[in-house]
Amino acid sequence: MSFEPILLTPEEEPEEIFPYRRVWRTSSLEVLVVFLVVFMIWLLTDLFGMLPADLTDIRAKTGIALLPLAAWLVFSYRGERRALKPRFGLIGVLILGGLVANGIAVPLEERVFTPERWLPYQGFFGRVLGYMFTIGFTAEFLKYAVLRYTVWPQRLERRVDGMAFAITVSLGFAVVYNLRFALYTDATLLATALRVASIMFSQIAAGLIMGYFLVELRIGHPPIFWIPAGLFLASFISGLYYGFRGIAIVSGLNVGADASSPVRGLALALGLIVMMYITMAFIIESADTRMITRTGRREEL
Amino acid sequence: MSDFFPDIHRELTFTQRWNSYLALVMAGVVLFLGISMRSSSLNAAQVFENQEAGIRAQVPLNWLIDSKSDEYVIRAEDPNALPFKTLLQVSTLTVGPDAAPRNVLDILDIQRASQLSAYRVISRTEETLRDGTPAIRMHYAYTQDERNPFLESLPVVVEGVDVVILRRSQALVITYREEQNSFDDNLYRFENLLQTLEIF
Amino acid sequence: MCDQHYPLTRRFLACGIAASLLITLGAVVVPLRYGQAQSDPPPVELNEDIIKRATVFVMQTYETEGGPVISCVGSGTLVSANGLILTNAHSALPSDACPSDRITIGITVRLDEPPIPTYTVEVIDYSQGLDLAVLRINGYLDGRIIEPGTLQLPFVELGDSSTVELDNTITVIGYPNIGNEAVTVTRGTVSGFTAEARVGDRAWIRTSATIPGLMSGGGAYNRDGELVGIPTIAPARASGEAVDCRVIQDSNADGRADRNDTCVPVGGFISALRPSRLARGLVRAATLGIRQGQDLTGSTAPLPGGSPDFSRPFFTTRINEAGMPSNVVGGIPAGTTSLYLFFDYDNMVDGMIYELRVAVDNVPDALYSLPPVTWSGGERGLWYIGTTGTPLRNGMYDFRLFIEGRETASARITVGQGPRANPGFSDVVFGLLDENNNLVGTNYVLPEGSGIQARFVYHNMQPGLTWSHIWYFEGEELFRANAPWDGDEQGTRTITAAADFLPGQYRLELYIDGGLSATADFVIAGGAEISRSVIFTDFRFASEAAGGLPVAETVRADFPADIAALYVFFNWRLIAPGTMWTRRWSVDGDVLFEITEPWNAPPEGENYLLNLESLDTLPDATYALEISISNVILEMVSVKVGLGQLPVGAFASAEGIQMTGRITDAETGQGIPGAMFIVLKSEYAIEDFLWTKDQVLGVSLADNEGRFQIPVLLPRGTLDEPILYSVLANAEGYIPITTDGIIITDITESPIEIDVALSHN
Repeated sequence: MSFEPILLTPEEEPEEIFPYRRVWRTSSLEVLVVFLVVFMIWLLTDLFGMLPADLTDIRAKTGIALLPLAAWLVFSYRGERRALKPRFGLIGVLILGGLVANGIAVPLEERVFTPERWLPYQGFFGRVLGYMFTIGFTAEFLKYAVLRYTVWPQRLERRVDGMAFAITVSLGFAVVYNLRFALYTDATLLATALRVASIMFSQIAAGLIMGYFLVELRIGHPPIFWIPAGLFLASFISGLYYGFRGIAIVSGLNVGADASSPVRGLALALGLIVMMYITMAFIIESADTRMITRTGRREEL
Repeated sequence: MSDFFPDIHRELTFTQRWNSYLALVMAGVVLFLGISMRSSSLNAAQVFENQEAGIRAQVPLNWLIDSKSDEYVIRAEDPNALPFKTLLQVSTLTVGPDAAPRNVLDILDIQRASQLSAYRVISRTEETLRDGTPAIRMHYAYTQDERNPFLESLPVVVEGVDVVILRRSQALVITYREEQNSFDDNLYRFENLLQTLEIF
Repeated sequence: MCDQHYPLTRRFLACGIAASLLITLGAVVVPLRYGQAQSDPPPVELNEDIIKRATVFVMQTYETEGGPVISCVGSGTLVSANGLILTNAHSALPSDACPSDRITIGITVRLDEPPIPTYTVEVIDYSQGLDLAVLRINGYLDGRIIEPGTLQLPFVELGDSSTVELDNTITVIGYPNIGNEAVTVTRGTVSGFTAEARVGDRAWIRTSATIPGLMSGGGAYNRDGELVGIPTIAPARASGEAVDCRVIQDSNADGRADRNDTCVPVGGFISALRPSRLARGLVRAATLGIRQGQDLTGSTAPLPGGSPDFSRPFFTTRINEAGMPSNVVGGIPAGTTSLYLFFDYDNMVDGMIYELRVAVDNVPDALYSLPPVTWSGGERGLWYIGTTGTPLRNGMYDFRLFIEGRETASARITVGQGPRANPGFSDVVFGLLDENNNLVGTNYVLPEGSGIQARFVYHNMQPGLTWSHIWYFEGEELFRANAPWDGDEQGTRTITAAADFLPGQYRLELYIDGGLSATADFVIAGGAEISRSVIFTDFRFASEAAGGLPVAETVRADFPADIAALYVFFNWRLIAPGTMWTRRWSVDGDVLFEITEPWNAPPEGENYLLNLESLDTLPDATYALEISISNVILEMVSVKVGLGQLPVGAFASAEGIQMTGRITDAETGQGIPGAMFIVLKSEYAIEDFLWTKDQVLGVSLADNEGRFQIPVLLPRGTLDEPILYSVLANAEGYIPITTDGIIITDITESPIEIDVALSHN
């Protein structure tokens, strides 16, 4: 005679572990961490005066410039390594993005486009279009090229994979721009921190668009002008951002008082990336829902 | 490496292939547009004419123009250039019938040595302009400092070029001055001025 | 949150997008609403900063094998934007105590720091007697020339020193040290005025301010910031009294800086200011670029051979229009507000140092004294020093006169005597008798001939009092008479001397019981014309001269514009050598030059030549020449050049707003060196700007720290009609900023500070 326990309640089914890194969660954490650190630096410098306003220590500035990379490594990359189904190629994309930025985008900007000599003197829409057709398009095209000729299409099985890789390549660009700003200008620590956050947020915001368009090219059934449209949209968004950024930071002069507030540039970039995250998340969720309805799954194998 | 970048030799669909091609084409087109925008903005010019002096030339648009001085016919300065305001100038000097272009340069040298700090002539070369007019070109350098004693600016090393043309009893002196690091980058503006200069 | 385990709701999405839009737009909209240029005027403050910047440090240097050596220092004031400086003549001219072959000017760049040597200057004009000089900045220290009209420096305007009143607040600005201290401000009040011959009752403004000696040559300002006085200390003398002196260089290159080296005189305190009106002519002439030509007709007077001396001191309480004492007093009642000490002088040279020390009841009193100052009276004559406007307190006043530190004369008077009925004479005048025995042509310049009469007022005379009159000619007694008084108690009397009155200088002294009671000097010159003395005749103006004669074709009544010089020729007769005569040049009614000197030409002649010259061309104006003797105007002639009137704006006003500020990077907060700040003329708005210089009022480039300063002053509007200025700020790589909204009214304080933050794009 055996005395096995009689179950009065049904057995609990084992909980299914989500196999992928939660991209939105980890990248949101990165954005939040960078924003909080920069905000803290602003508080300590401008409001409480605990940090000298003219602090230009190169080590501190370099540390701030590398903060987005550190946050990505801690949240995204470590999360990726711990996931059941990690995404491969992220480090390669990151490094390649940085190399392309430093080797192609920056020299093009400095030697061919020379925006400082003509772009600021256009009107608002002239600045938007001018930026869009030069620096903005160059950056988005290079991000597209890095992803297109490395991890596309095999690594982009799900739409959110596109986001993950787009964020990574954009981060590579942002790190290069940030390091150049920190090392080659006399900006203060606060200015560097504000600029680092702005560059990171704006690069990622525009890169998300290219990431979506690329993954849709793999999974969906887009028209033949799909990628050119994506490039146009991404560079337009980045051009629009830089047009508004000039207004946000300063819009005039004051008699006897300071008219500038670089923090508004940070607020603009934060608003942009939050809006892009929410928008892209909604778009991806809608597309995935339609895909599930049609095929029963989210991914394309 | 194959862990990072998987085999990319996968058959592309028609849409995917043409998207790639069009992206490349678009890159070329947009790059061309961007450079065109830049060029048209940087090279925008306006025509300046002085009937009394008998001079017509193109000077950059949105530069600060002074044409009311006794010392020159026209002076154009780039208001945005840092740290030295790029300068293009056309001036005239009354000379005797026996004066040679080098005499004019000597006069300019003596004048400038007493007015410009660390003034130094680098070279003098004879040349022929595009329309066949003989001219002489002088390359020089000096340091520019702030005239206002209440402002503290570091002196700037400036390079300059004068092209002297003799006509009748007058010497025409076309001048270009720029901070030494940007001298070569903006030399094309001076060459444009020379090419568009009409003397009537 | 967006994977399949966490579906998004539309409401969440809408809220999220709305929130991010709010953040984004807020970053843009907020600055659009509140970032416009504010043009409320800053609170009103005194214009001390501009005056400090207009105050310069004057250094005299001379070259040695070891390099330039600083010999003397002082202060000066910029009186025009293009670099005219007003200072003391002794700070500009070389002397035995201050050898110099170059004058260097130090500028205050930062108000809290000592001056920085920046420019060299040349002496444009000076008056050694008044100890005033006008300098002009002509070059940088490295020898580069500064063309006239290319500088735009802060400057002050000369105020009307005749409006200064007792107890007014005076602000004195200058450099108190040998370049170790920043420009300093000291304040005090006007404690009185000192009279001096040829200048009048306000030859010196006395002040209670404590003014260090090195601030000599600086400026004293009224409440409106106008220059009303120049602190003046006597120049140091190498052979005079030992003064505080600092050795700062090894001038003899012996490896040691000790008493064998040149030392820079410091020390002393100043209590007297030269009124600015005495400098007005020099400054205006320098501003217009006009100078006097050399006097080619008169010969140079030889230096006096004898020892300088003062003699015959006496007191008077009134001076007439001719500068003659109206009476002679031995004591005065309490409450008298004016007292003059007259004395003869001889063998003096302009620039010598003389001094009056007054003690009241044996206690030195600075108010009635005159500190050591430079002599301006020429070689010989009658001089006075006085005090006016301040009631004299009772006491015994001792007056002692010094020349170069040596006492030469003294006198004493008692103040506080009750009203007395002493007999006395006063108000001596001279003239000729007409056929009705009336004295006509009463004057102090009379024509040659016999019949010169003197008339005087007498009072409290008693019969039997012995009185006498003594006549002098050229210092030698000519005639004397004395007799008992046989007239009324008071009235007027006319006397004469039994002598021929030849051309020359005369004096009449009237005595009562051996005591001097009245005295007056007069001059005989020229021939009679009715009752007037005619000495100078046949005035002609020309624009060219050759061999001391006018070029006939250029003799005109009026001249066209653009002549380089103006010559005046005249004939003269019956004027004795040594007769003091004054020539005064005016332009549009303002006196530029006034020279008083002894006549050094033959007694008669033709074509005496005087002239005015210009560095370029004489400005359009009406030029007048006035000749006088003993303050009696004998001739005045004038001529027009060009329009006959100075152009509007010939003398720039220091009134206006200084616009300054900083251009910074909006992100980094650091200055943008080389950024350009442009102010448009008030009639142009930004939309009208075509990038032509003639639309621009002023331009400045930012320095290393982003600071800029518009070099011209912005004219003010009024509260009812304010002036709006449009400004632009540009720099490569930055979005330009423009605004039309800078409002300037008459209550807008200067300087107006503008901070510009440019956005890097």
